[in-house]
Amino acid sequence: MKLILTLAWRNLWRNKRRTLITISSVMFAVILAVFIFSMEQGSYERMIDTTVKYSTGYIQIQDILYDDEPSMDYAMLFDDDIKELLEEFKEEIDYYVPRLQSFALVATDEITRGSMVIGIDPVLEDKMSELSDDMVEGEFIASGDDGIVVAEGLAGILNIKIGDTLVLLGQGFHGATASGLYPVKGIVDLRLPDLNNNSIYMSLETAQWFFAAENRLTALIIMPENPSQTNQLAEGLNSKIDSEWYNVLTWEEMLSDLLTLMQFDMAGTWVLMMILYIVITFGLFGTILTMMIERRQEFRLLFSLGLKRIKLAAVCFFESVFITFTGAIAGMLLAFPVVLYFFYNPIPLTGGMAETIIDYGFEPVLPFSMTPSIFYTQAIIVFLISFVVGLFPVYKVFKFKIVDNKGKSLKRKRNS
Amino acid sequence: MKTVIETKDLTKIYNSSVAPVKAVNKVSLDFVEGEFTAIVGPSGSGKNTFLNLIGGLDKPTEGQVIIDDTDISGMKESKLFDFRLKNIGFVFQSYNLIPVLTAKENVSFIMLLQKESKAKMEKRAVEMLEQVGLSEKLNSRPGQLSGGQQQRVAVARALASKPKFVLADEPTANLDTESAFNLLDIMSRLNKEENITLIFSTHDQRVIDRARRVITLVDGAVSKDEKFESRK
Amino acid sequence: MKTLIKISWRNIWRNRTRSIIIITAIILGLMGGVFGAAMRLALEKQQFEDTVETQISHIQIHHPEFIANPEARFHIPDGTKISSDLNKRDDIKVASPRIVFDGMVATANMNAGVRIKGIDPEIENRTTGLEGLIEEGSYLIEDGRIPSILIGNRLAENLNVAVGSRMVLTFQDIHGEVINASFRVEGIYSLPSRAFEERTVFVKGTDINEIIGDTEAVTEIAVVINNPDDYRSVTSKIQESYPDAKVRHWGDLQPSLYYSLEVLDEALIWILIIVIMAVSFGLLNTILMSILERARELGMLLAIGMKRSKVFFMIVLETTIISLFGGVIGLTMAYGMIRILNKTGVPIPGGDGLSELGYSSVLYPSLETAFYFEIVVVLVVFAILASIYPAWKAIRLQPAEAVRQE
Repeated sequence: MKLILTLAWRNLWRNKRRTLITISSVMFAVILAVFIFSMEQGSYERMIDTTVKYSTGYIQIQDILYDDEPSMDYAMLFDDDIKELLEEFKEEIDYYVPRLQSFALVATDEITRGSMVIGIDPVLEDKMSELSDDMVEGEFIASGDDGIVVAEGLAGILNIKIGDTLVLLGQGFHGATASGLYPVKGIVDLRLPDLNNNSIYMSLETAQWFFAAENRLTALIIMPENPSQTNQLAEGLNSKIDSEWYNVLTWEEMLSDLLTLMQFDMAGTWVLMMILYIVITFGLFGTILTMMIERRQEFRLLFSLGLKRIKLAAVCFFESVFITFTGAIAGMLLAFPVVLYFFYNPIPLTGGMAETIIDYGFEPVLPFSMTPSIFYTQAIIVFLISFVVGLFPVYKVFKFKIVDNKGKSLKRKRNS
Repeated sequence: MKTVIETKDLTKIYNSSVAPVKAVNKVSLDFVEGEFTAIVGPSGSGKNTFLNLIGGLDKPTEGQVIIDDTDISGMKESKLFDFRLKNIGFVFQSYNLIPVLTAKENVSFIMLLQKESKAKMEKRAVEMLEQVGLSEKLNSRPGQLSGGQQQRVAVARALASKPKFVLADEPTANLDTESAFNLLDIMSRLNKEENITLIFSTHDQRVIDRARRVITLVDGAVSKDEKFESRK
Repeated sequence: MKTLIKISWRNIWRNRTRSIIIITAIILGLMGGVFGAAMRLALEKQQFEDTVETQISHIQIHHPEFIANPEARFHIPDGTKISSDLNKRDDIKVASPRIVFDGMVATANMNAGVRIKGIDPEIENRTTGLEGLIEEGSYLIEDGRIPSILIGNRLAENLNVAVGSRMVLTFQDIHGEVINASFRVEGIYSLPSRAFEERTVFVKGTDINEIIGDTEAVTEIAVVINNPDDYRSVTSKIQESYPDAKVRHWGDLQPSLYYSLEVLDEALIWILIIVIMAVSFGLLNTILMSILERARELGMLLAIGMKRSKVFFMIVLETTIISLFGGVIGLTMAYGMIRILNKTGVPIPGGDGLSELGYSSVLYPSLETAFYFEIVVVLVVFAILASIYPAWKAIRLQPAEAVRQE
């Protein structure tokens, strides 16, 4: 076996330049694939991170009916049973963020508009989304505060300033009328136009009073100690929770639409990569074929010396595996620092594209991802390719005629 | 008679890792028009280097090569290409022909490079192939010809553009006796009839026996220079 | 030249298998690349149709204040007249006047913020094809006792309402007074955009204008133009005619779509360049191998006086011929493939999830003919680049050594 590997390895370096070019073509494909996937994945991860951070969190516990019909009527009871459950999982849970939200009318003397009213625990909410960092005016609310924080876009529409009082009018728990007067304590920039024109924050206690939903939440967001353990934690919670009343959702379930679209986009990239790999495979195939043709004399010699076909086939197989693997590993090794560099120094965008991205509250850069799967997926693909290409010389060796058509069994060249 | 090639103190030194090797050492020789010369010597005697030098394929370290009153030793490469094309015909030991072209196309090829008119090229190619006895094989590709036939095509090609002299590097080495004699017959005939200067590098006795001048090189220097004017 | 081409052509077929492999790689690469590009184009086109043609139209006209404050009081002065004037212009296919503002929709146990669009059903249908989007119930035709409303599929799900259900809309009238009005769900429409479905309801303009107290008020005019490529010039012409209004084209309204279409042509070429680069590696390798095999022959050519520049050119020519040969076959096949797929359509894997989101799960790829020619140019340029190294190798051969090399 060792002899076979040695033979295969040395054979490759007989024609150094050719081997290097073939390796570099594999390397090129791997680098390109890693680069493109890292860039694409990077954008998605940023989008998901942002959404998870500002909106859904990793896990939510809701009333069983709330997901289908997000009505105040289906606000869940945040009672001792739930608190006990959370206590049980306190090793896995970093912290939790309670929310009570619903739609309401908000009015000044002149203007009336609809807006989402979100009751939050100011400390916990801030821990999750660092909301207070985005304050543009006034102060962030404190626990039990009866003031409100209005999103900047909405504040502009309503034409209000700090200290003004807003009338809120909505539907409370089980048809109760929700109404009240609330002073504006601060203005926050939520960036995303949809949120920025439609959000009002108040403290959880005030919201529960406003919506007449004492001890109730529309969602309890759970932030795990280790985000990669999200699914396990969700399963754990699900198995212990009263499934007649409660529903445990992970961000993957909450963002399924977004994820479907992302997968679809990724599928397009996969098609391109597959085409690329097919082309590279043909290049490999050409090299292997030439090596086979060149070595007819050598094969005759080896056979007449008594080398078994299976051994020679193995040598040839390992040659093609070596080429592809060296290329794949070199590609990954080279791609790694490049991707790492861009991971820390994302490519800046300019022009209109950049402005659009800033409008959506992102930095105008193309972020990269360092998810390990991006790297090892390419290795698996290349392994499969090398296997397929490697089978060709095996076939050829078994079909090889030791005595050629002219009947000369071994014609050794002079000086070669 | 007119001197075609003249070398003056021609020297070529190769820098090897051990010590510089004088492959050709101060060789001064004249070759006159119509001569049939064989250059002989053991391997390493410098005959290949000498041939490369007078053929303009290699540059001398010292000394000069004067062909037809032109000193080619200091010539720029691009000029040298033109010079070779116009003045020197080559016949090599093996791999003489362009495998993808027919015999006729191979012979025309040099004239094509010289930008001859098509009609003239065609006529000359056919004529030359007749001269070497291959009028039947005009449209055969090298792969379809025997070794001897291939060499004859090579001779036809070398002569087609009427060079000042023909350098033949072991042209008979890979040929059987019959083909070798056949080739030599043709070459001697052309030498006499068309007054073409031939210089062979060889250690084939069959060639040496035909040559009218035999120069023996040893260690890069001329050790013997014999003339056999009586040979036909 | 003719002989050089002949030599090159015959050289290519000396090692038939190897040439066939590289040509096959070119053919498959081009077919794949063209397929990828055409699918990408089809997808963008579909998104353009979904977004621009059914949601926002080519051009929208508003009161300048309306953009920040979508309220009825910021209506376009003389909106009705402007709209009928626009409908007379010959570069405009149709202009739909709307009364649009934000409000709240409430059922017995839930409420949500929505954008209410009061429309002329007949003109609106010619503008966005709204009638065709109705999934359940019917379009706004009947003049019932209670005014009709069309709502999106997802809003219906969220509010748990069906055709025939009643709902209350709350909004401000022209004077800023808050008004509640009851509507009956006449139809439920479906669109790919989740946000649009959740946030947009349609009512009859005549109904809503009566309620807000100004029968003439128009806050939005959506314009479909005859030649979609002229959207910039038409936008500026309309803006000149009505300097007091804010006239914006779809690119202003939907910048992300605009930029992704803006870079589309480049993106398509890049897809091809990536594939062609991969092909070039194979080509480089193939040519280099044939150079190394032919060292003696090339040395002989140099020795008998063929200029290095000519030998260089010959190698470049060989590469170019291979790439052109593979390129022409590959593109012809790609062209045929796209023609066929354009008829049959391409089902998208995992399309089920997409059609749930309202995207069509079948794409109909197509490409402009000019694109194929661009590909040929890119291919030949890369082939020439790939041939430079082998050609350089070839002319670096020393004739004296090459002819003797065994």
